[in-house]
Amino acid sequence: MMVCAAVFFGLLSSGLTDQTHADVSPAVPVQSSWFVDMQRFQKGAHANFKCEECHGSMIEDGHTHPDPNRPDFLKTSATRQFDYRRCQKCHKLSYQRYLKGKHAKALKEETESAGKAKAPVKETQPAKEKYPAPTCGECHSAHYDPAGMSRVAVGARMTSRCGRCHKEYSESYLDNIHGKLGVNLADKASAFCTDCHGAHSVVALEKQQDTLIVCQRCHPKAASEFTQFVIHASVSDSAAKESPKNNSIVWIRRVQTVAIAVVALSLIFFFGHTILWLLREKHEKLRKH
Amino acid sequence: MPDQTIPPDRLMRFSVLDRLLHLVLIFGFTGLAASGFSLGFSATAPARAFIWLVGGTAHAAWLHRFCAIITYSSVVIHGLWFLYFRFVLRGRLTGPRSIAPSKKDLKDFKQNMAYFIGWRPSPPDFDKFTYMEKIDYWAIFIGMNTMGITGLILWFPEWFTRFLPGVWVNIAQVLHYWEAILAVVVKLFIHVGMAHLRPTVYPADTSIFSGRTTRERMMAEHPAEWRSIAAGRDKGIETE
Repeated sequence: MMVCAAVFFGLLSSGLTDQTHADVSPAVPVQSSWFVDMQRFQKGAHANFKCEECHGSMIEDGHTHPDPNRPDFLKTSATRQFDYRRCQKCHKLSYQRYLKGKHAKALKEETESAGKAKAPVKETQPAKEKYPAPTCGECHSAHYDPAGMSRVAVGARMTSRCGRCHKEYSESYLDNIHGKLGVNLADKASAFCTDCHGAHSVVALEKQQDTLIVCQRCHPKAASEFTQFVIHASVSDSAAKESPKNNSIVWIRRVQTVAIAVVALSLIFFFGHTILWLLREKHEKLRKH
Repeated sequence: MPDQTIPPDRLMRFSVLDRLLHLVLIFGFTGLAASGFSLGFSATAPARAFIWLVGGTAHAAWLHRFCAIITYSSVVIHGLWFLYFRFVLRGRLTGPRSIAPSKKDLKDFKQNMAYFIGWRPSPPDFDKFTYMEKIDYWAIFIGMNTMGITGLILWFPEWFTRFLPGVWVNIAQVLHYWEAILAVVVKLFIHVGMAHLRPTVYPADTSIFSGRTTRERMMAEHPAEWRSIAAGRDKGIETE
């Protein structure tokens, strides 16, 4: 078993060849590779699994395995090749939620557009960076992710992991009190990405009534206007323009600009005044000697 | 000169109430700054160390609120003192001896600037409170109110958003954060620098703790107040 795993190849059965994005996805965990580090694997949550339990047998699809003669040998991204439907054998609920969420929808659209003849991809939002739609493996490392992590450790990890694609949102979350408390100060009562947006269902929370239910999990007395608080207030201008809270973000920035100006001018005045005063007193003392 | 009758070290500048509230402010303000900055600059090692020291964010949050209450209570108590002084003791809240801003402060400021850069041979004719001391006082008095209002919004966001737009909570956060930075920098560097680290008073001006000042210092720093005391119009204890 271990010999087989030492140089480990995923299933090459999928017909999906990843032409558009190759393997430059920022989402793919850095450790993602066709090769498995068995020392790390044995510390992971799946350490007691045999390879075949997830990958099937080596002759399953009629190829010899590994097959160095295949043109895409070692050239494709491991996380784009694996058939993640296999995960639902154990993680049924998570998988069903994933199917209902935005990530699965994006993957479906991507697969459909890749299946069509090389028709020009319809760019609805040309300015936006486009990442490959996430499979299970884009967020989870089946080989290495440990089990039994604390809530705070999971929260900190997901903040950086979601941030691989949603960089502005993880950064602006860290500027918000929830991120500061949860990630920076290890407060398990704080809210992490998935506490609001769902782990597998991936909800954007664009509707106020959806958001209110989410807020009330921790703030049971919250009323509808409470949802208009902006968590991701420090996103870029272009991301803010897409947000229904854009108007609020504009005002927060205006107030912040004025506040910074007042603080800066006050400090210039006070420091200038104090330095002049100290110099004058020193001068008077020296003159007397 | 009639100053022979006044013992040189018995000149009172600050009443017991002033000194007490100043002590409360020192501890309250420091606790607020330490716990608040631990949240504001939570990504830094000192912030994490402080949170570890007090035993978690929940403790830090209650420390912050406790310090806020005792600090704000000193504002309330001084406000009540003003009312008592004005309406029961029939004192004057304005005038040369008071902490109230006046036109003379502007003149003093201009003259002091001229003195700093050498256009005037001597400092202005300061009375009991110089314009710097008034700024120090009113910065705290007004700042505690604005920090208190924004802090209450952040303490009870669920209640406030029943009648305020949700974005006001964000705006309260922005104002609370930047005003905290201004207040801490001004108190830590400017106030301590002006009041304690100037060459003439270095290393510390103890008058805010003892209430007393010397005749020489009063003649040099508060000449108008000194003339009033020396002329017997004032016992040197009247605080407002």
